[in-house]
Amino acid sequence: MESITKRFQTTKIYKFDYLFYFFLIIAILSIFFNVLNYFNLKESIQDFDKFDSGFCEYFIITPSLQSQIENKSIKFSKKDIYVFPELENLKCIGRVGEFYIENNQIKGYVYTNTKLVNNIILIFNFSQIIFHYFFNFYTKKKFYSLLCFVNLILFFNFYNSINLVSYNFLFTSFLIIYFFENEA
Amino acid sequence: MKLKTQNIAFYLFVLIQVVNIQFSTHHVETLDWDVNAFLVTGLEYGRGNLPYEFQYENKPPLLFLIFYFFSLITNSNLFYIKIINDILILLILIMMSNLYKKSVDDVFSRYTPPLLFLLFTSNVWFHPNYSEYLVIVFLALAQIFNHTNLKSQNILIGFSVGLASLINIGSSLFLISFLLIINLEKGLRLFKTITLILGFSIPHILFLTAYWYNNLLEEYIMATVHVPLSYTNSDFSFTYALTVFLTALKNYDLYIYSLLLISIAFLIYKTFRNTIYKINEPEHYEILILCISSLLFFYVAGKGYYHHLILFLYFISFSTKWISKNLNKLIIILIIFISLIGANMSAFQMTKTNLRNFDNIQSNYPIYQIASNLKSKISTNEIIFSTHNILLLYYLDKPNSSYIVHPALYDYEEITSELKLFKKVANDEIKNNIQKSPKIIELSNDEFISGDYIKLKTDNVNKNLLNYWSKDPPLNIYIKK
Repeated sequence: MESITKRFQTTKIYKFDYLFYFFLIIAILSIFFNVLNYFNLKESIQDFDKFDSGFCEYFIITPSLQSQIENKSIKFSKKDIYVFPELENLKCIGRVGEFYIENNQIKGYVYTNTKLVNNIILIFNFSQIIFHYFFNFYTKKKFYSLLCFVNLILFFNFYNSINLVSYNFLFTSFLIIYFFENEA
Repeated sequence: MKLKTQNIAFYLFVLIQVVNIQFSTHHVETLDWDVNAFLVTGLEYGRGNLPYEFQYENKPPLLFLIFYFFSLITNSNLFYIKIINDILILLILIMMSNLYKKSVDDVFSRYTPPLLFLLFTSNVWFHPNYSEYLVIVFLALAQIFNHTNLKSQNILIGFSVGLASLINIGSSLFLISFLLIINLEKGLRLFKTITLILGFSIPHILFLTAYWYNNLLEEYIMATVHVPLSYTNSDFSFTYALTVFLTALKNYDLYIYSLLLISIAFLIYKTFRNTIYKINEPEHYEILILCISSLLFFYVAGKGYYHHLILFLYFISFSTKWISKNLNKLIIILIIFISLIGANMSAFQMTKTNLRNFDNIQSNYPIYQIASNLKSKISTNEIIFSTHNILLLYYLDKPNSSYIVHPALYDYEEITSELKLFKKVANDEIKNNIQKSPKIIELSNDEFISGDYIKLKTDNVNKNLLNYWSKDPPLNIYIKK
């Protein structure tokens, strides 16, 4: 009986390991494609007359990026978009669009949705805390790695949608974990 | 004996802190309009009227009675009334240090909550005599009664919450909180529930009877039921309002801000931990329920004003009380220490000036000076219409010619529409009152032109002392020729 329980516990951790690797691969891939995409934007925008921005095709890390291309400077500003009921807009968060030229300056918008990103951070972090401390889903090492990786990716991919509340959720999550490890 | 000396030393310490922090803004006459409106409406009791009879302000009647009492004992000295608020804050801090001693009682757990509350409310946003401070006094009494073994414990809890709800209607929410708290420990207890509700009802019945006796039941229901319900119509985003506050707090002091986050995180941690290990800690659940209720209070108030968060800041201050590890205690003490230095340093210079100038603070208030000059020019039966610097009404002991007292209410459509329904105000209330041809008209703009009136010269008034939030506040007073 004891061995069955042990085997079940081992299987349980093993199964959830897949979940961990799944999150990890998604995270690495998303960063990889976004970085690639970002360099693509820098290259494509040089020939603005032939430039086709498509539907939220290009990714950008920071809107304050303002580089000079020949005689033209580039400036992006933030624009909040709804993702409900327009679910296709989900693709646009953190990406750029609506390019135009004004006073010899290329201008465009970086699409953001602070509420959505904050909810993702809140739900992800708190659910992981519950999974780990209530149900013992992962090993401690994997729990820490997952939390750090996913938060890093969220902050990297949705940097423009991040505000003080996002940092609050992050800081509070880490504090809760700290208390679990150092108070109990 | 040692404990007593320790307590006395702590009380002296917080007294110095309260004086240093609060006195830094006492030289400014108006920190918030709300207080002015409470004072003006409170004077109605002195005229033998009840609030809402001829004057309307958007709060329950006990608050005005308390402010009338403040006016009486200070001889309508605004500066002294501000000091009363400092005493109230000191009282709250002392009560805090004596609460929840059953499960944990060491120096850290006793003195951390009051120090946190002192720091959270150290910014000027929380300096005025807000109704929330009075509410806290009564809710703290309810907390104290909840931890006594008195026979009439539940009646007293209910009575305290009832009084709090007659100071700020939103605090009625805490009736549900305390009902939950008393039933949480040992399941549903019908007798306790009924006695608590009975205690809550007593002050309400008393005020209801007073209004009924004076044929003002309709006005009472309008002010305590219809108008508060109309608040729910207002466009308000809870998360946005909280974000605004947190951003402002972070900009004010990063250490105090981090103390708030630590308190919230510890409350969540403790809740998770108690759930996982099935630990029954009634005092923790009490704080959790009260924190949630105080956030609901902020939500129900529906305006996003920072002072609606005072109750949350009060209850959340208790959360770190149960920290057990010495290292964590040390970290918190260190952050508190740095924050206290910051808060004291920024307040010290102005406090020093104000303490030196103690005797002249009241006489330097701009509206007080103007009112003192106008006193001889207005007779008992002449009326005043004021829409901005309503302290003029307070110093001259006159009701406003309009039913509305609080300057901001003219712009609150959800409230004025209710008042119009009850035929208390006209469609164009300002124009209507000007047509009454009052002896003095005080307006927020200088567009008023009439041959019958001359504008009072206010060049010699120090406008810096008029309103804390405005460098050039409007001061337009017209006197009938």
